[in-house]
Amino acid sequence: MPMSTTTSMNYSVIMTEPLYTPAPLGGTNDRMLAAYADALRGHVIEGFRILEAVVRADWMPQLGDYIRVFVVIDDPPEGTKSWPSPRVSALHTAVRDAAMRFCIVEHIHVRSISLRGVVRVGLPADVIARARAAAERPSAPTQT
Amino acid sequence: MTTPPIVEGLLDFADDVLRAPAPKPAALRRAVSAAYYAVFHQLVRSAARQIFGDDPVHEVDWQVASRWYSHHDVKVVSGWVVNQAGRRQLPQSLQLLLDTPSPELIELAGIVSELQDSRIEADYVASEDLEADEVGFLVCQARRALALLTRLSGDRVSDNYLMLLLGGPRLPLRRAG
Repeated sequence: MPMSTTTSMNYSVIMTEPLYTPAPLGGTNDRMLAAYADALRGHVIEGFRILEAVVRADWMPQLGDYIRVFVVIDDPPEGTKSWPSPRVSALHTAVRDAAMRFCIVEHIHVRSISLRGVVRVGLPADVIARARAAAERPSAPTQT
Repeated sequence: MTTPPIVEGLLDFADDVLRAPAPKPAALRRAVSAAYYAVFHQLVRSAARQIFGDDPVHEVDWQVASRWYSHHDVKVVSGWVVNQAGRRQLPQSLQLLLDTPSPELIELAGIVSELQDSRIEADYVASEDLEADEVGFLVCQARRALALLTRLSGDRVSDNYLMLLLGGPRLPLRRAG
């Protein structure tokens, strides 16, 4: 009897297809991102002055649609190497949570950059200039 | 729970990078990757031990099973815990399995998610560098995650989290209970 030429189903393909992964919900537009950045910029969050905030929508194969948030904060106090991790962690959580106020539901990745690191990280020149100007200002920003 | 040598080795590598007076950009990227992989390996080992048991006689089994875990699944399942804690919408079956995550589990899942994001960006976003402070924070977070992992045992929802890491996103969770 000749071998059947019927195409068999490739079950390995089916079994590796994720049945439940969070789909990008979309709906976030530039205006929402700008409002979110404005809500961060110039405020004190978890004790950190947000000298500048940059919010961008992005996509990567491994992460899907997501929102990248850069917040520029003051350098750590003299004599300390870096800000304490629990405080930085609380800052990142608060920044992520703030996105919900603007109905931004995509995954958010936060990077907090000390003023001394802004050039190294490669933030745009206008962002760096605004962050440095904000750092010079003695005014007490509002807590958010 | 024993820590595989690779975990401490990776964190030692990251510490060495940060101890340098002026770490090179590529070294900082590698340090972020090392911090993430330290947590990934320990997480996978914990999950495999849950399947086979704690007896060291299963060492080979743990090693075999550790190849079954994917970064994608770890990220998705960790996201479920974070979303459940934030009262965001999850399928009912997941709400039942992850109904009341402990504060330790929520923190762990958040760190795993953040470390993986950072690792991916460190490896793939070539146009922006990292600063040492950021990397130092991520290495601290990795150590924190390892500490949290030791405190999870015996907690039902944490056990479910570890169980779901093995292919959870491929289960028919939309239809189940």
